Amino acid sequence: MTSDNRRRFLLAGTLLLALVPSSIVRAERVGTAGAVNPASRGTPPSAATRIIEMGSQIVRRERIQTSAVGSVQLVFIDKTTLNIGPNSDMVIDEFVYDPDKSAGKLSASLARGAMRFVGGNISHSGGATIRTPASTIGIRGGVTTVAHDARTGTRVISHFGTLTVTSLAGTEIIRRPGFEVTVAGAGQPPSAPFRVTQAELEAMNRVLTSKAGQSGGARSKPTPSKVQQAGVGSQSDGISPASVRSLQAQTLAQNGQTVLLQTIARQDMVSETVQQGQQATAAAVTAAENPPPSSGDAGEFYFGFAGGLASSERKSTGGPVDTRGGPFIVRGAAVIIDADRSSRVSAISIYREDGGGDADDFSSGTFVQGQLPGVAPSELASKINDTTVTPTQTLVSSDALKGAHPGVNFCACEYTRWGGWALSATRSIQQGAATQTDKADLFWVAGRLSDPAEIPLTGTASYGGHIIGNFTDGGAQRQAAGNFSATVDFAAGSGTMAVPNLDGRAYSGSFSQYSNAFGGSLTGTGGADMNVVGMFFRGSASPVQDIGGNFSVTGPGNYLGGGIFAGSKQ
Amino acid sequence: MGAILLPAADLSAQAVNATLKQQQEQAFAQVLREPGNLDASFRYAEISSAVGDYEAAIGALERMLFFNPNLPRVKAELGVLYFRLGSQEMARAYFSDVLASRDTPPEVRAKVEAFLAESDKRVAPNQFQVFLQTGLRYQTNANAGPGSPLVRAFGFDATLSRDFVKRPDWNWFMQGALRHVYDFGNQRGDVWETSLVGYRSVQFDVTRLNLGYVELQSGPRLALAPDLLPGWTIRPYGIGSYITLGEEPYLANGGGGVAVGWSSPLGWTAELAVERARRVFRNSDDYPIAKQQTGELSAISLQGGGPIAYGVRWLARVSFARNDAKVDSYSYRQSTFDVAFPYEMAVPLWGTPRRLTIAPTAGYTRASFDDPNPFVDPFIARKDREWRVGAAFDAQLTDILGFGMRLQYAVNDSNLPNYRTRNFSVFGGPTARF
Repeated sequence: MTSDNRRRFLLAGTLLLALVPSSIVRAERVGTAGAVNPASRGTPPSAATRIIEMGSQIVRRERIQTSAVGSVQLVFIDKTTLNIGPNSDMVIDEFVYDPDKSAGKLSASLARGAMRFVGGNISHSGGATIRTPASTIGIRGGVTTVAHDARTGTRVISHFGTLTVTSLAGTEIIRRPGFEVTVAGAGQPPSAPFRVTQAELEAMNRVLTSKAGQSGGARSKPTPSKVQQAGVGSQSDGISPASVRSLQAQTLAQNGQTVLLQTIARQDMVSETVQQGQQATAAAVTAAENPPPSSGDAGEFYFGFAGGLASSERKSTGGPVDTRGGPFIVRGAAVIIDADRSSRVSAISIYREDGGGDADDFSSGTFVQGQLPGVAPSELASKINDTTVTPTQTLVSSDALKGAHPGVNFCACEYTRWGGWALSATRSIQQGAATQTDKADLFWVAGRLSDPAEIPLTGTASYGGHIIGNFTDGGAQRQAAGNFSATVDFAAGSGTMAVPNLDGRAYSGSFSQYSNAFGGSLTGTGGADMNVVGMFFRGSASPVQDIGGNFSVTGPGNYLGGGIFAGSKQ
Repeated sequence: MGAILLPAADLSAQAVNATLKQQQEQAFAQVLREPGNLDASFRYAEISSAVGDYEAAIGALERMLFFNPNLPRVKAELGVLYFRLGSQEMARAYFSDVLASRDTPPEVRAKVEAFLAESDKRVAPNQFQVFLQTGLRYQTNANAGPGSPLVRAFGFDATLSRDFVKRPDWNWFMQGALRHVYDFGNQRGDVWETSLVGYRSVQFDVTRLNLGYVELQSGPRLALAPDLLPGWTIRPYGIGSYITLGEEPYLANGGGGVAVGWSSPLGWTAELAVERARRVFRNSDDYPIAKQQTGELSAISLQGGGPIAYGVRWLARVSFARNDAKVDSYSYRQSTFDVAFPYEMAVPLWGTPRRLTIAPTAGYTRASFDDPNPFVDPFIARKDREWRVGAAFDAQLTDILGFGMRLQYAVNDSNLPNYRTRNFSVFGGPTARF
């Protein structure tokens, strides 16, 4: 190029430079030096090193170096502040910020020294990264202190937010304030997070601010009275520390308000349990005090018990018969109402004692035979679980049963009646995909209830009678009957019962008595147990002339049994 | 039950917040232009704090310390700001510095000591919370008696036994809850939570209703997947309780459950829990057939809550329970719905803002029993529907003491007259929390 042309070229270049919009030059600026203790130097890219003073504009890719007593606070345009301690060497690698989105990228490299990063908008959206010779630290949040020296490596302390510390050999995440990670060297994995000590924090705080005698470049220093006048701390005066909820919870512990709601819910459940207990007792005592009239215009009313064995068969269309685990014990109540000479209703309400089976299996049932004048037949429908069924039912008379067990002395009961009740009902289950047939072979006993006020409170009484039921070892069922004897001590509210032989076993034990009901458990031979529940029934001679109730028996080897007993005063 | 109140600044309405944010931007622009201007920096720190941008306030105040490292009020406020962030260790470093300085004014020293005491509690691996209340309760129908003495027995009309006719009564009660949280110290924030709850009431009249209740619940609360699902936790737990009624053992209950919960920093929570327990009842003179209720109670519940506006929150709970009792007339299926709208406000009391909470409540329960109870009616199985409305009040008077009150009106409609009940109940008394 000729010297003339060189001059023209330079002139053109200078003019072009003058036309470059100043915004590009301004876009390089990333922040201001907010406080500076000498000596602190800044080296912008492709420019000479300069002394940084308070108010100096800091630009992208500038290198900041502090002396052994120098320190700086940089304030970035996204509100991030960076305190840099003495003997530090740091470069702002990257800074891009979009104020409309309050997001961008900030990355810096700390070759040696210490710094505290207090995050502004960029780190809130996860765009801040600090690199040291040993690691890369991603900051979401957050407030963190980072230090590095060649001898001990990198130290990273989290004060707020989430930090990801990565070296060539691994990554650790700090999610809680007050935890620290160290990286000994680039090829070393970061340590697991551990709690930072108070001493270390206090040492860091001293390093990252002015020493005694330094003033950070301020022309007028803030004095304690100026601070007080400015109202620093007035917002938090008078606040109870316990009432402050922290932005970053230390742990996952649930807050008190939700726990309170659960406590209230549980207390309401307890109240409900208490209410049900009250109402259950109320029902029983009211029933005992209101026996329906046994004779007269309302007819004759008998109340008692039922017990026996039941079994089920389930058949799916085109499938085999499923016997649902074999026979099971059923027990319940029996009610007989003789409305007048020509109509009678008998009803038993039974439940499965073992609580087994699935939703379609027999759980409970009410079976009704007969009609009452003035009562619609639909109100007397038989049901299994909640489904109306039309069972086949057969009552077996006590005479027929007596004939089947010649060796037994049957109860010479006056008004108390008993007998057998066999039933079978088929219903459709599983939306019509299967049918289930439930059969029950039961016995029932019912008598005339006494006025509870008439039940003796002193003295004893002895009873004798029969006990009859169905038994099984898991397969076929058989009927067996025997005798029993019992004594009741009305003052003590207890009694004893003995069964010398029922289906080859003997039972004895005691029961408790309350008003006109009693119940207890007897121990039997061969490891069998019998549970009895019963009531006193009225006779012409005494309000406790007869007793009747139901029983269930369980024993080893799937031994099951259920039935009733009936006896009278000896 | 302590940390519920938001900092007083955060209680200001959302509209004011937008204006403050604008003011913060303006103050920051001035700081960038004149970093040595102390008034501008103080103003920026104050507005940042008011707007909840604690990091900006921290940056500004740390710059003050560059200008003069000996400023106890600034260090105290830095401690409070780190405390608000949840950075207890940094807060304590600044608080210790303030207490060690000879130049600290007495009111600043007192304030820092109060915060330091609370900070000690928050970093301890074992944290305890205690709630106690004693007081009086009045009910118009303390014994759950039906409205009319004309009930049913054996399916026939009957007169309710005199002992069980609806009766009003007062009682004295005492209740307490002790909550313990053990911090495992891992990065996920996993904890072990235990709570012990007790309740005791002594009736003035119907003493068979005297109730004693103790419940212990314990289990870990673990982060499900802190990076994939932040805020989600899983809590398997065991629970056991014991109840005495009429001063006799009544019910022992043991079981466990699993709860999966979620909470967001904005104040929304949700929890799905499944629980099953075996309940063993005992007969006593006052409750001679209680044993028939022995069985298993299983329940699944979903509860949630969140902010509405201006300090009002909503809390709701839906649950389905199945009680399987030995005697099927006590087995039931029950669905329950409860809702509450707690409204929290700060009321100045002797110069200190104190929390007052008012919460209207409402609920509905539907229960269907499996089998008829032959004592009542051999053919009709009980079906109940209960409506209830009420309100709870809770006022904190000092750091520890307060006053709590709750009233409720409940109406139970049933297909059997024995269970048609109404009850108005009010109870209240002093509370202590620490």
